[in-house]
Amino acid sequence: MITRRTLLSTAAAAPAAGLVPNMLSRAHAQAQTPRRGGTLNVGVVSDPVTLDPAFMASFFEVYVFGTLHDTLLRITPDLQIEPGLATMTAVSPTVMRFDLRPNLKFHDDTPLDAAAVKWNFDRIMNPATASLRRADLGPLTSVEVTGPLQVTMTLSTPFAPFPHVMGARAGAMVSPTAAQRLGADFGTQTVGCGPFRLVRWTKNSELVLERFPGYWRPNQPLLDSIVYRPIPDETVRLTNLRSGALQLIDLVPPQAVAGLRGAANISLRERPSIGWNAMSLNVTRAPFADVKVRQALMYAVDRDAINRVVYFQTGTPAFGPIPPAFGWAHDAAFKPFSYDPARAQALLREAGVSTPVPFSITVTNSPLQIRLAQLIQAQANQAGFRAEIRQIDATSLITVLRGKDFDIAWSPWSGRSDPDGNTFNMFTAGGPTNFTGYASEKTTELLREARVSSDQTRRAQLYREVQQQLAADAPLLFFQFDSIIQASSSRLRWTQYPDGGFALGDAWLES
Amino acid sequence: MTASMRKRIGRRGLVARNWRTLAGAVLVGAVVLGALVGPALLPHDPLKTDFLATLAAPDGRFWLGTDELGRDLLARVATGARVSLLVGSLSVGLALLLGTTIGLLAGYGGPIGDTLLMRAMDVLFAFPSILLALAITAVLGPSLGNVIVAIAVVYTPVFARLARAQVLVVRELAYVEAARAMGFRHGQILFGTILPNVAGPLIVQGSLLFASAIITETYLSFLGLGVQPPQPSWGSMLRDAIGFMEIAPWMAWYPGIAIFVAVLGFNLLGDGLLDRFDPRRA
Repeated sequence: MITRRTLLSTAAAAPAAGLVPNMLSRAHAQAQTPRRGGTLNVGVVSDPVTLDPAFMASFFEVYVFGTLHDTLLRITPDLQIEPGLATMTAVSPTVMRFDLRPNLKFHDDTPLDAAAVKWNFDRIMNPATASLRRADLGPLTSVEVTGPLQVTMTLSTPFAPFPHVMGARAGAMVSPTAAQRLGADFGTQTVGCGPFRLVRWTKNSELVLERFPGYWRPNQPLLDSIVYRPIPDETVRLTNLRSGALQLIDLVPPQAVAGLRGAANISLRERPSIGWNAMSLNVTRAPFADVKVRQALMYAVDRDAINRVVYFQTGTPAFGPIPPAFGWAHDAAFKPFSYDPARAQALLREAGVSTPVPFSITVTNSPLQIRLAQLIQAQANQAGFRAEIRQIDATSLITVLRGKDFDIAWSPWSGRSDPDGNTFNMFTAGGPTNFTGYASEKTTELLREARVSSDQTRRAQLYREVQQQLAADAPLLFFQFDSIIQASSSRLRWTQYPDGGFALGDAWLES
Repeated sequence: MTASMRKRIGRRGLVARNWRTLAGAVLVGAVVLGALVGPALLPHDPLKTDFLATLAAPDGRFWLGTDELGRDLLARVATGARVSLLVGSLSVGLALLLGTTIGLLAGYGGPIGDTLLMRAMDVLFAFPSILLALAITAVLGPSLGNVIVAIAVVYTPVFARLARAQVLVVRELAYVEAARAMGFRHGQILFGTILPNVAGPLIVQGSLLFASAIITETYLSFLGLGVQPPQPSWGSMLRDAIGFMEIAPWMAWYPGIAIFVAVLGFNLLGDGLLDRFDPRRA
């Protein structure tokens, strides 16, 4: 809606300000008349694993999440919470009331009412469903229908990130009738309530969505259809955008960014992400079971060099999990480590280990990650380590991480709109994405308090303490806050989101 | 070459063939020389990164420029030559050894052994060579040793078939019968009498496959299945270069030229050897 609203205000303000047409850029002139129709071809890195939000776990699902699905609340590109399918009212810190918009429908014409919402939450909460969303809902204990279009949710404790959770996967509503009818096939034939509905999905070839005429937002969607094409190779994606076969691509290679900034017919879009790039250190086995050895690695790596050589200055160096995109919680002054190979060597001596300390760097077979691994290897080897690189295929990464079959491993996080989503599950003992084996009572305690506190200043303070504790314990080598770098045909008007997702209800193609 | 042979080929053909053989020898010599002395003579270490000189264009300091991690491309191309020659010689040598042994035994032994051995070779032959090499390295895991093994397995049936066909001809000849009549043991006949008389075509085939082996190694390294970073190989250098074709095209030029020169050289040389050894063409 941001774009549409901006566009409308521009349209209204231009005549009022007495701007003559030739002073308006072509973009603004065109922006006054969003156009219906057209097919958008989108080049994405990979197919989604599932279309069912209850089981989405891979990054590649953000591409379809915002087009196929809609959520109870909406998270704006600036991470603000807006009403979505429903309006939320906090009756008390632990009781939330949701009032649905009238006449909502799923893609199969099933009414989206309070009963459907309750059914969705019952499905997620039922342990037999084994939904990955159950953990997202935190202390949610019950969802009750309190009116035809009203549900009331009760939490066992206050839960600060709750509105953000309702704007993400756990807040996406799917059709109960379709889910019951399709059973195990629902993951590939999902029926949601977003601006576009599924036409067909040919795996590794194309995923086709079409305009859902019953969508509730006025004048949306504008496009007739969207075709997602999985293209793993970054160069091939970019070439297809240049040739016109695609009109929108994700993950523009950072080295191409400078050249694209002035390109004709292509519009490059960059925006700081809400995630972080880091390597997980396996704290359950040598050599990184020893905190001094972990600390040594923190000093051995030059994060500025990584940002320059691997990412071509498209992001900023990172030292913790709270990126600048979280204005209120980010600590710009937080810089616990400098690049200091001598200090790294001193720490290894203190640890009493024999040098060079051997370890392996596990990355997947992508040019950027291999570049990164070689840079870390070169720098670690200067600081008393002897690193070797282990390349695995992208699909094995999650197995390697979960099995703790690594010394250090590529494990970036695409981010959530509340800092809790960037910390709690990774850094609490036994958290579902705690791949390092890190367990600190202090960190867990801080994160628990940050989740229940409703005072944003207090929460910001707690996340600062979490970052300091993480720096002291060094379970991950944070190195970069990246940018979402996407590019489109300059004919496409669309809104970019800081999680890299596409919600193309408001997107339209100039004729 | 005898006078009669020279007469048969004609002067022009001979000169042209010699010229090509010579060119092949020069190109191969350049690659071998580069591989042997290059890394020792060149000013830069192929693994030394310089993060302040990444993607540097060719200049006085880095004659062929640097790659994305600031490593000297000349040193890496020279080190890559070692990898290519190592893979070429070891994999072809291994295939030659295995294939010739299998072919000799199949051709000289009884029909049962022949059928068993050659059907096994047919199974390997049934796969496109690059696909088989891919499958083997994928199963064994990515490393230089496994690439050598994979290429050797792929080329073994080529030598086995060739050796068997030669043996089938030679074993009926009078000198083999004579050796048998003189009471030589099978081993002596096979390796002492037959092998020297079938070796020529096998060596020619080996020199031609050398070029294919180099290409196959670059394929596999290009796909990340060969030499592991940071060690350079021409194939992995090409893969690294893809993402930088627009801003640092020299990263792709030099490994590409090196592959071209090496493969052309070995093909020309193999062609020359073919002329020398093939009774139908010489």
